[in-house]
Amino acid sequence: MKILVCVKQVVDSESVIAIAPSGSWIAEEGLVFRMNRFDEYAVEESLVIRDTFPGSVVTALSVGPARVESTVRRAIEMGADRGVRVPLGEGGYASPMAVASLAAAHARDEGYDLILCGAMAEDDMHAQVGPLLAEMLGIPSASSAIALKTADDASAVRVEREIEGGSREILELSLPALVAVQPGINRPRYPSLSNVLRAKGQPVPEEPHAADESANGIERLARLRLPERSSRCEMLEGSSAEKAEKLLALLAAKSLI
Amino acid sequence: MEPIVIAAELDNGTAHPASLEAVCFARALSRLAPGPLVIIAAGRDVRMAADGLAAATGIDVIAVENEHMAEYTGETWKKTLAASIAPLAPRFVVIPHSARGYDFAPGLAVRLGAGCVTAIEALSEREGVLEFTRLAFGGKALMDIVPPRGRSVLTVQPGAFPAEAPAPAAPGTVTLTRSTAAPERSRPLGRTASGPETASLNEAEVIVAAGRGIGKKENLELIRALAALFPRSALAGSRAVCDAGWLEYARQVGVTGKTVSPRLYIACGISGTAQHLAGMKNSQTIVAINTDAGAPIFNVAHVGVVEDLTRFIPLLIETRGKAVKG
Repeated sequence: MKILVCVKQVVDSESVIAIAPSGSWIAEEGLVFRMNRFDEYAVEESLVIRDTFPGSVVTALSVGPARVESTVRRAIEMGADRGVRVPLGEGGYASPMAVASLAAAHARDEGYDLILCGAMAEDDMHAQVGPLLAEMLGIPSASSAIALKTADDASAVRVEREIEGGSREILELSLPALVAVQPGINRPRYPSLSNVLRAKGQPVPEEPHAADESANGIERLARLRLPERSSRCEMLEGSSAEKAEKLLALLAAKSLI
Repeated sequence: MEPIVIAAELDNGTAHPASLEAVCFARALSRLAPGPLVIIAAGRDVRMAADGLAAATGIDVIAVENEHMAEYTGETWKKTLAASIAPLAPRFVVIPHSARGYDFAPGLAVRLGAGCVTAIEALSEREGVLEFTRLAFGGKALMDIVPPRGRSVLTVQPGAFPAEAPAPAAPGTVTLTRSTAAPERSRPLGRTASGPETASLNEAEVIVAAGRGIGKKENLELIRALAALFPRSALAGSRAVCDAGWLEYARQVGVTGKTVSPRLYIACGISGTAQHLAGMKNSQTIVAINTDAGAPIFNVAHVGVVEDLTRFIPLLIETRGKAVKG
């Protein structure tokens, strides 16, 4: 099988973030760039499927500025066979429509049987690129996949989608198809030493494509801002011991303890 | 004027509550970008749901009967909705940001030659320019997005636009149409039931929930000990904690887990992603304990404690012990 896995580079948003003076993105100085966590599950799933179908090839693709090459390389370190980067912008906000159209430009003539993506990106949280890419390529797709099984003859995938209330919707997609996976579908592996060494010497070619922005309108990020602290939240002050006493007093006053 | 189309989500012959929230959003939108409202209700056996929507909203409904819509496939939804919506030439198409909505909305946008903005939580107008507000960076930041000039597909975060109560004087008219669009490259295979233990979370008066911020699985014992201070309490977790295998998925609170509204919800080491907040923000009292004062959980909490919970929870339990004895 020919498998494409789409990976995005994001800043480690578990760190404390601040808005850049321009107001158009977060201040990235001093922050660490890494692979979007959701995409790590997509990479792992691609490797699991490759191992079931000998002769399969996994390609990792990222769309973005030169620095995203390190995230493609990370996918190779995890075990992807090859990587490719389609250039877009200098960082900051990128419209999912533009990203998907560039990914589609790469994928259109490659003849991938299966395309895997993370369910969403940690930074913009759009959850759009996967479903957009599938539609641009004219292949069926499913998002929020929490279980995936490829038919023995590689003609279809059986997908369990997470839906509201803890239930799952099950469907089968004929290949080629695109699946956007949820965290929890597997346990992403750590790179093995041999793959780390292999990734070191492996080029990540740059493959320029023209974004097709004519067909669909592109939205614009007017500004990024920090939310105002809700006025209803009473932040307890004082020493740890004082906070503990205040909290217990508050709970007791509401007859909660 | 170009219309604003609401694609209602139907479930078992009735409109899903998120559909009425989408209507509420569309009404607010029409005040900033004037255009007539139209509801599309597509599904199998849609007549009753369509009548219900027309009566509840006073908006005209186009009911699209399609026998292939008994079970969800993105393919059938996109085909049916694109064919029904395109002739209306709308400026906006509004869809609930549900597990179905976010699955088919981007593809529908491609089919309609439209832009797409997802998970909208608020809308406003700034110097004559329409903006949609949505969360980013795990809820730590807000994005104000200007939609493209042309057509746009929008998804609306459940809970962000509570449905209005008053019933309209006159129901909208219902036009019944048919679609034979069928899935060709996808096949629905049914649904699994939700897991066990729903009851324990639903019945608990106090829920103590653990997030990634507890650091390691062993620290769950602290959370358990805190829960033990309260009668009728239950232990829950965020998505990240369940993904890490620290707690079973049946205890997950959030969009893809359980929605709870206990008397007291104590969030320990939970940053507060939109997906988690949607599952607990209607709790009567919310206490958040987190080392990161910027965590979005504090935006919905009533009481906030910025502390390391591995030190604070033992202290809290000890203080409580003294108070009970004393």
